[in-house]
Amino acid sequence: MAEPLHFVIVGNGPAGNEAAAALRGQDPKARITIISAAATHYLRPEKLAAFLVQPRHRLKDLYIHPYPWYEEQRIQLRLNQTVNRIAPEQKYVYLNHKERVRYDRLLLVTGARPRVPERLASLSSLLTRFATGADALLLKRGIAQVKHMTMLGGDCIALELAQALLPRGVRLTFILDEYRFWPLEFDEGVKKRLADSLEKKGIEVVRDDLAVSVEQAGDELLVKTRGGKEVKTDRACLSSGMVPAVEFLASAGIDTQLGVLVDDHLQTSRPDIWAAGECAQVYYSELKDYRCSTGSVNAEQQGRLVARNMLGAKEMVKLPEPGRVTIAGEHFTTYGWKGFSLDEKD
Amino acid sequence: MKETRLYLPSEREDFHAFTPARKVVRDIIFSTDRRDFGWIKENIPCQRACPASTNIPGYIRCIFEERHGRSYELNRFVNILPGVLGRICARPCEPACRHGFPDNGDPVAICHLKRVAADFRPEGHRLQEQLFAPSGKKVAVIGSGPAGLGAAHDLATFGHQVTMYEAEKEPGGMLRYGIPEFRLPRPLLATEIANVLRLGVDLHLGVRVGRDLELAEILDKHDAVILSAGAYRPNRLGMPGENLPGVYTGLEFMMRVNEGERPEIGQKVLVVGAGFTAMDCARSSIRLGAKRVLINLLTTEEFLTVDQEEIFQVKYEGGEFRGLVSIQEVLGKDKVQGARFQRNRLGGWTERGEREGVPIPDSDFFDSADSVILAIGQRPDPSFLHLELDQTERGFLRLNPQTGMTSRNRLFIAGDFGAGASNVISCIGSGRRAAWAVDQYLMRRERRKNVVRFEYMPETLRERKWDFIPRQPMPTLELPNRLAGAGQSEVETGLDPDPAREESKRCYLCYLRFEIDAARCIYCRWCMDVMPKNCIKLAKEVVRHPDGSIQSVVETEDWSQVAAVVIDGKECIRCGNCFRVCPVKCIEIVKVEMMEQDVEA
Ligand SMILES: Cc1cc2nc3c(=O)[nH]c(=O)nc-3n(C[C@H](O)[C@H](O)[C@H](O)COP(=O)(O)OP(=O)(O)OC[C@H]3O[C@@H](n4cnc5c(N)ncnc54)[C@H](O)[C@@H]3O)c2cc1C
Ligand SMILES: Cc1cc2nc3c(=O)[nH]c(=O)nc-3n(C[C@H](O)[C@H](O)[C@H](O)COP(=O)(O)OP(=O)(O)OC[C@H]3O[C@@H](n4cnc5c(N)ncnc54)[C@H](O)[C@@H]3O)c2cc1C
Ligand code: SF4
Repeated sequence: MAEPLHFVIVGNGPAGNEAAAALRGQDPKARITIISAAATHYLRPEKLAAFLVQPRHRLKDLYIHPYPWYEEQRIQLRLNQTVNRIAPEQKYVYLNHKERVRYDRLLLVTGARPRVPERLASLSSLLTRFATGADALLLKRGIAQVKHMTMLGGDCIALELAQALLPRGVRLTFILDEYRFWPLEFDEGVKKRLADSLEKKGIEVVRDDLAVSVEQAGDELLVKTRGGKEVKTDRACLSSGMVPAVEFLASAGIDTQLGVLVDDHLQTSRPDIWAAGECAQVYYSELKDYRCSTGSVNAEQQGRLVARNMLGAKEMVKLPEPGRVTIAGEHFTTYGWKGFSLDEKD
Repeated sequence: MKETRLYLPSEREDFHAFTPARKVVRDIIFSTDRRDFGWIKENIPCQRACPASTNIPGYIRCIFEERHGRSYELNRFVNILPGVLGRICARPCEPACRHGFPDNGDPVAICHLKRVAADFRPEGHRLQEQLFAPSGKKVAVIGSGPAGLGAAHDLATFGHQVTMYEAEKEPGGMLRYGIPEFRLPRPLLATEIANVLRLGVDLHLGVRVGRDLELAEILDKHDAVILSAGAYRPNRLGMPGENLPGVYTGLEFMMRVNEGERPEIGQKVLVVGAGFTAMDCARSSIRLGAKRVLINLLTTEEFLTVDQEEIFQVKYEGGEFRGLVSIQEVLGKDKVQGARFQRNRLGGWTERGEREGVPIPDSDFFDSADSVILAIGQRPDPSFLHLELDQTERGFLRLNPQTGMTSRNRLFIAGDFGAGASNVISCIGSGRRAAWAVDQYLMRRERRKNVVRFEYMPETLRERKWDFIPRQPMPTLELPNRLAGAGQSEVETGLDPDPAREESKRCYLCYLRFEIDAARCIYCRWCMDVMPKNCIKLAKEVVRHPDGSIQSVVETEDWSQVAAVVIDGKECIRCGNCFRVCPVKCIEIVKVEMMEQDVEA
């Protein structure tokens, strides 16, 4: 009998986990391996802000699947291992510790990571990131000392953080740049109203400006903006949205632009390699534009769809369904994040 | 504290040491065997990739030895303008560098090190020129860009009387009027041009051939003419709105900026194009005060001809890239109001190795703009010659491959005027080759040729631990300082001596040939026990290039088939481990360099 196919999934976010579960559901014999750079299990990052300020919460409580689930499903989970190269001809992925893993079908679900604007790239080590379980653990360790935090950009992750930190008495400054409220696409009027509502909550808001440098000043950091403003702060947090994590693919001849370019079936430019979730860039004729999906629900849906296609189906990816978010009492329709709400009652 | 000078890692150091008071003369062999040129091509990938065949490991080693003047000269011999190139070279060598191969890290900062040689060469250092006696022949060069300068330099050293005609007020071509000052300071450019002119080149500025002087007249008065007039006819898309006020061609825009004008561009600028010119237009627009500058690409950033560093600088200054679009028309009433684009998908590859962007049907969108800069390249325009000359299918002048001459006797071409827009180093190489062709035509024999020089080395020149030094970053000005004043301060400030020396250690010195003498090898395989990578192989046979040089070896694990133990030059990092353990000392280290030699009559 033929050897079962080896499905290798790079990334253990919602897209990767849903794909693995769907593959297992439809092909009981398949060999399935998830390889991820993440140090922690699959969790919902939208819960991380609350975790940060709840002293008794443990990261484990956020895990969606406990470890035995992977055993039961016969899914090999390899955490803390980064893929840094792919050789599509030989069908190998190379890990940064120089091991190589052979695949029959490969799924790229590497998601996105915080955007580091070029002007801040050399200061990267001074900046706080808040996107993964590991980031949250690191920040939580020193959170008691944080009296003031500055958000460079002002995306929705910063809004989630603000919601958790404000009640704890942490003072906040938002420097709103062009990525403010990413990934929600609002017109200027709404963005202005939202900025006003932040101010009402006691947040210092710097508008139409951007951070150009961050310096160590004693125990504190000094953030300077293009407009000449200077902010003393304990933490400077990157919050200019997220960008797909796909740089390592170029050398493999896999076409990328913002993310991995995939066709309507989520297949990349190379045979036997697919991509889904936040790292996959699709052309939608309805929008006359390319888009990388955002949000967990969209990632899950694409994960399930790509699993079916990897097993031979030819399903077309559809524009994400609109969902609702609530901010400052206002309801908005978005194609990105869902179930996102910043109201006190939540 | 400064690290003490270290030339050789072993105790044999002092045999080889270079000190001002001491000179070591060793056996040196010269060769013109095709296999030796083949070895260089196969084993020194950076030099092979350089259109001027610069001896890159040679000049990098000199930087390590802190002989910056010598390093500068190793460059200047073949590429004429090292200080210029150390800033703006298109650096085809870097993607070829072995240090950038998978698992080896990043390529050596070859270009930045060239600048180091120029920045730290001692004041009043020696320039060496190999001069021939005056020939009494007169040669005219039309255009003083990189190609013209390369040609004039070599013609002058060959002893010919060179007259150069230049249409503009200052020499340098695109170096002066295309590339912005914030990437190439003008005093440096002037110094390096003066090094060429002082060889006796008679430069006539402000003379536009075809308008002020006819080519036919120049041909009458000279024994040969080299046309190096560059590429100045902008490519056109033939789309509606292309001629609206507020639409510029990239070259026209840059030329105006470089003459000190401040073209009207408004708040939002759409740049179309993917080369140096597009990047320079975007960065110059930012300096002129534009609030939003978008560079529109047919494909993606990955397929740009400019390198990552340049892309980074554009973004750092606030420029944005929009990939996978093609412009369809410029819209506006009496001036630009915006443009209509179509989205593209990535297509196949063109014959010239460029990735194609294919428009997606029914994907149009509009984007507003105050100005549109079309930086989509330019072509040579031979109409000013007022001569009928044979052309190729692609519309360039046809050359006789034997003589390098056009279909008109005594008329030669060089640089972008020949085969269309390229880059500075290709043009310098092409200018020098044209000069060699002219010389051979005028003197009826080859008077300068390439030879391979071999020098036995008592030890390797590097250490294994140097492989772990990371690529040293180029320091740059901070944003406010870049935009201050006229915005023309040089952005890259150059490596300091210490990081420069660290960077020089990274070079694998691919010009060192490690070879096992099969006659003396006793097959003990000690070398294989100490090899740092898979660099020493058991070979049953070798595969050769047509020129006879070794291309690769066929490996075997079966002892009965082993014909030789060989060191794979492509894997070898010149650590010297094998050399040191070999019990019968059958491993030889030879420095192999290509150089130019004048042929005596
Ligand atoms: C703080 C925060 C709050 C959020 N809140 C919301 C919300 O309220 N609502 C909402 O809808 N969405 C929210 N999101 C977005 C949502 O989490 C993402 O859209 C979703 O996780 C994307 O799923 P994915 O599977 O595509 O990628 P990810 O979840 O990003 O998973 C990618 C995985 O790939 C791994 N990886 C990356 N590169 C490599 C490599 N080279 N080798 C190996 N592994 C690699 C990463 O470590 C990661 O584990 C939030 C995100 C964050 C960070
Ligand atoms: C904006 C811009 C940025 C660039 N950046 C880079 C870079 O970073 N790196 C790189 O390698 N390359 C770069 N290039 C390309 C590079 O500058 C050219 O490939 C190179 O300069 C061409 O050299 P050339 O000598 O053939 O022509 P040119 O440099 O164009 O010189 C031709 C000379 O001939 C003169 N001339 C033309 N017609 C006549 C006539 N009828 N009579 C008399 N004289 C005449 C011109 O005035 C000019 O001085 C850039 C080009 C541009 C436009
Ligand atoms: S390691 Fe040195 S010699 Fe070898 S390719 Fe790179 S720059 Fe050239």
